[in-house]
Amino acid sequence: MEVFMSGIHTLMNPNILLVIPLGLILGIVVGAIPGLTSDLGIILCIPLTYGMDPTVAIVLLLAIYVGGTYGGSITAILINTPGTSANAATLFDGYPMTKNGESFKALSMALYASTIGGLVSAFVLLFAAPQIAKITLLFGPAEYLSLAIFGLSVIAGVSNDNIFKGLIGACIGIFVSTIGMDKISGTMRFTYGNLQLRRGIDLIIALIGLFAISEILMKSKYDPRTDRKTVDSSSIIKKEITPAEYKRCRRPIAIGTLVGVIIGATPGTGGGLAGFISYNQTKQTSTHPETFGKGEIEGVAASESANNGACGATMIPMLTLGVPGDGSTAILMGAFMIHGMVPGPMLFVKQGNILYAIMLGLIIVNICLWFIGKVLIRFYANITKIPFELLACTILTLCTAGAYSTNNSIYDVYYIFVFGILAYLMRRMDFQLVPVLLGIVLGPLAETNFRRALILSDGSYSIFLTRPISLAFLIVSVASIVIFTIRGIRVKAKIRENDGSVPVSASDSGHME
Amino acid sequence: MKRTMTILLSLLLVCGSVFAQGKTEKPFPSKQVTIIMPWGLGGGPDTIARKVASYGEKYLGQPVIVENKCGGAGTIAMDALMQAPDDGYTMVCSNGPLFSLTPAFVPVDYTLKDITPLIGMRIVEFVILSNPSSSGIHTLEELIAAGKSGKHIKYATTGGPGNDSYTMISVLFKKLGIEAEAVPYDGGQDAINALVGGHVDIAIGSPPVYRDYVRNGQLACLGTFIPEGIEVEGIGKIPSFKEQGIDTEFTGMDYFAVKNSVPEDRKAILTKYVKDVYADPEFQAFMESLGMQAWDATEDEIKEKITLQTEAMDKYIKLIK
Repeated sequence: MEVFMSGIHTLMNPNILLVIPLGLILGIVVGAIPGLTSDLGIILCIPLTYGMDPTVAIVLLLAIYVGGTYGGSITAILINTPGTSANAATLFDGYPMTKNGESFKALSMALYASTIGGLVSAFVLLFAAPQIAKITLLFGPAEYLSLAIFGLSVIAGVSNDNIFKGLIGACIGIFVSTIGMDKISGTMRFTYGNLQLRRGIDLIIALIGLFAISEILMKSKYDPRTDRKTVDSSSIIKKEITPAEYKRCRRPIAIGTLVGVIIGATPGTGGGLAGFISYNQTKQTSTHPETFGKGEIEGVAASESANNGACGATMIPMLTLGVPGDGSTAILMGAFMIHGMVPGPMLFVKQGNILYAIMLGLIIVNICLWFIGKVLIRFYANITKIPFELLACTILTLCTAGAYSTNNSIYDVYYIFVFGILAYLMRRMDFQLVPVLLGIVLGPLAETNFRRALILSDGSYSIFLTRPISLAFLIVSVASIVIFTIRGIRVKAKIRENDGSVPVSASDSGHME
Repeated sequence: MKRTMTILLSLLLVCGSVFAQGKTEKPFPSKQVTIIMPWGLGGGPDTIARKVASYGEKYLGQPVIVENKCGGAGTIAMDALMQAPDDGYTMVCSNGPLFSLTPAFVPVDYTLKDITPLIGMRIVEFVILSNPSSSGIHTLEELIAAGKSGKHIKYATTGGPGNDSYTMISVLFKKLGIEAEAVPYDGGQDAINALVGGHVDIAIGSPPVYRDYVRNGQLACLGTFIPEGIEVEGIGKIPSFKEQGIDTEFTGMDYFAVKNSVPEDRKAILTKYVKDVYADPEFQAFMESLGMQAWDATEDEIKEKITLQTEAMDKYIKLIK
């Protein structure tokens, strides 16, 4: 209690109130631009924090992190390209909502869900970090593999009209993830002697190509004049979330927040996986799964509460064990060290007051996110009113710049176009893009941990079944696939009975019209 | 008229000489300097390099930025350095294994002759650790006893083959004559985490990653590869394997370097800049908080260490391959 009070005292710094809005706005901007992530925002700001009080400095960087994780949803909703990989699952329903003229509503729900997820996560960090850290230590290679399989089970949910196309997509994704140096044996795979391919393909590069570039290609074949008529721009701003919709979103937000906290606290995972799992769970347990993927506000709530729910929780292993949960926390860890705090088991003992000040600061950051987001939404909801010709050029420029800045490499710019063309062809052949993304995200997690687990068990597969957490994930994964498949068949049969038409895929984020 | 012409001509001459001077004697550096970082954001060398870079305006008169070019076991970054112009505006944070180990596993387009180490950065002190509560191993003797009794030891490394920690810990087990298998992880923190979680029996790490765990009794140090042993604050002396009768040694090191073709005077300016940073009391306090010391070794010292390391590694690689 004493350190807690001294934490409040440390936080009583007027500069805090100045840096939080600054950090949030910067985070939202870098998060919203595909290719620029909150990682970049944090890196750019670290030198500015050298002279600051450590608490103020870290709170500023946290504001960028939180703002960035939310900001990525803006482009996911408006232009079908997640600004960061954490917002990938927001595409499913966010973009269809924009197409239905409900972009303002989708953006508001993203903000609402992000704020709640982030706040709960910050409280969990404040009150339960050391206890949760002990549980995450139980995660060995077998558990990570089962978790990755659980994540991959989403494929069944997002491609239920054609599971084979979904699996082919996932295989393409896994193949992409194997390019570069193999982490276990150190050998080069699929690089064909090309030095640039040794680095592998960055997730964000694949993402920009798959979603943004292919979207521009898809849209380019339509006559923009007729396309624009489909959305009545005057209605965009007016559509507020109704009380009934808020009520409906309670459950998805609760699921999302819980999933976000659990996944976030598990090192080596992150907001993207949390978004997918939360979306899948919400859809599976919903009484109306058929509306998901067509502009269901619950889908946006599920994904966005999860990725921001992961924000505070990713700090748990970082602060308590010194193990960063994702890229952003790895950079934050560097920032902690620059400010004289070495994350690890002794941090709570040695610098408890600063730490509590930072954790309380994170709560304020999440509250401020709500107010700042509210003010900004009206501005960016108008993006859909911009003529497509102009928007496409701007997106293309931002994506190219974003891709280049990822590694300061022109090759990444080439890659986004390769992925763009591949994705365009896949979409023309009715393939979903999400399984490809899942393959790229979860492929490496599954592969390396599968191999590690087998080394540990001397080649025996029983390791995945004898460890309780691993077994539990596997059971849930199988149940999830079975339930989904049966449900998919039933829904199809029902729709056929009703009107004789073949249903549209439950998730057609990869489809244009 | 003649007078006017003379004045005009002399003015022209003066202007000309001023311009000429401006062009030839533009002081170095006159623009931003970049440090290429072959490893990830937030890691040890990255954290130190970024701190060094923050003094750019103060001691070099120009901003210094750190650019991470990860992947390919450091070869992507080395390739970027080789392609950079010879003007001294591109530095690299390099290490020993990029020359002594990586070429044995990956085809590379550089040799030690292509670079000039300017000044050292830090010594990497690898320590072998155990988790006594999960494996019952507290000391090197107990490890040997466990291995000889038929226990199949699993050890966590901070990377795969071609990685320095992987090589050294594998060599140690070879020398001990114990049957053991490597489980490569993604980095030092992951490896220690696997050890703390009881997923592996032994792991390799460098401070500050393991320090707190040893202090609170969760992990035990079995020895270090630094031949003379090391003194760690709060832990005390960690003996070397050499001192314990096992002939393995390794001194990891990071240092700042430029391309060999960079003009000597520019190399000197960059070296002085890093030296000035090391002398800054605020920087020293920062290093102390990380439990490290800046290693201000000279070019010759660094090159000698790399050459010795390359010879040793040849021998070690043959042993474990």
